Amino acid sequence: MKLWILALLVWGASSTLARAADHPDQQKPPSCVMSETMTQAVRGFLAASSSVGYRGTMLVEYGGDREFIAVHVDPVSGGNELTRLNRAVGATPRPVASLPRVSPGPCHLARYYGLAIEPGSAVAGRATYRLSARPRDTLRLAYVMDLDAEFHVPLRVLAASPEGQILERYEFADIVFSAKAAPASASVSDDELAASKYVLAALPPGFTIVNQGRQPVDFIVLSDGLANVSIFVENQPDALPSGEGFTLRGSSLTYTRGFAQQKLVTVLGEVPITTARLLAEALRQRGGTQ
Amino acid sequence: MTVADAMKESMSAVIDGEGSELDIARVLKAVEEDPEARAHWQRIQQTRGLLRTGQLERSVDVSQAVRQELENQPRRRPLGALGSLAVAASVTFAMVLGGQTMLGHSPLGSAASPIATAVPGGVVPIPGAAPVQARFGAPNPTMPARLPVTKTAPSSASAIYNQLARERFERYAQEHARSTANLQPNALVPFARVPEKAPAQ
Repeated sequence: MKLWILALLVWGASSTLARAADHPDQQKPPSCVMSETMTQAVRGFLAASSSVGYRGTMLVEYGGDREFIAVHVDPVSGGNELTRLNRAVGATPRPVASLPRVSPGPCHLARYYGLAIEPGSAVAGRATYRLSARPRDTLRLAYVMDLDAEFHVPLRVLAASPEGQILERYEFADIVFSAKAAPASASVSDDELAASKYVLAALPPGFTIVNQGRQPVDFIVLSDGLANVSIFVENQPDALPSGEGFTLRGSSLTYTRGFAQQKLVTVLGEVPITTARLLAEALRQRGGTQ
Repeated sequence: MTVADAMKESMSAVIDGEGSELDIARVLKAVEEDPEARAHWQRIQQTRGLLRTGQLERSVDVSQAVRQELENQPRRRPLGALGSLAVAASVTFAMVLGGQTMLGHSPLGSAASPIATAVPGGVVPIPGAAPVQARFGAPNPTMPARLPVTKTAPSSASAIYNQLARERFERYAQEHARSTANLQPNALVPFARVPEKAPAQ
């Protein structure tokens, strides 16, 4: 009898191992079931913004506006610049500088977005593959990205609301790749963060605080790896009643919420208004109740 | 290729409720098959809406607009129940067939179906949402510069807060771009969204 039970257990264990060997993804935690191809593609995409240099021209459409922009990205020197080609004759490049950031990684994204890969069409004369990121909830936007097959830089991107409304698109007309540096590993450490006077009673799923400070006003920055949002807090003008309003430029939403005789909260980011409202309502003064 | 004068007359007749069954059939066929005709039909729709409401109407689904016109227009000759069913069925068939052709996938979708099948042109289907026209180089009615807070006229407080939101965007967009650029699909696009008059970095 005991021998029969032992045989059954051995058979069960061996068949489980065999199934796992046939499907390597099943060996990973249930929260991160991704093929190796997908993992490498997403990892390459996440690293590209801080590691690949290029120069090119892109068409950007947001709201009713569209414009051609010449861009130059140099991850080695950090000397990035853009030139708005439709604003003025002989426009001069405008230097821009961004803070180093480390993306949370493919598995984190896969928990909050349905990721899919398929062959893409040629963009700016280069081969691409298409990475679609479909949000698993209504707290973030959807993205369809045609990524360069070699450098993983998005050559064509479409951002849409959870309801399917297209918010923003951009596409390279031409691009020349140059330097490729090691992906940025530096990030803002907790010690460097000047704590804001405000905290969030709760964070939307998947979002983490990536920065905060007190200049020019109290602010907190959150990200889920694709969706990014900043919260700015000011004093509410005495004469202003409670209320809310918003404006949209491309995929960037600006939501302003006033709490009478307390604070004026502005949530700015690439998120739906649902997320912005949640964040505004979750904001509390550190050590206080509201 | 331009829209033939005869077709323009047929479209005008349909919109004015004076189109014959032949006109309706021709318009449906042209709108389905000819992008120029589709664009012309949209222009007529928008012009008509402008005259009627004083505001530019946003028409996305041309077939839907055709159907609405068919439903709204007075029938000069009663078609009877069978005739009405035939017109409705043909319009529905045109919409479904046209939609499926443009979407390029089963209307039932699947878990593995991509969010969009075509970025640069054509219709971009997003599961759970109505198909919308996504085309580079043309004004897109699905990309409003600003969304209304409510469908009714905004209250004075809402108007004030909408204005405050615009001002805050101009004030803080640069800082937001600086903080999050390296976490966005393209590190320079966040800066491109920043209004020109915002202080330079």
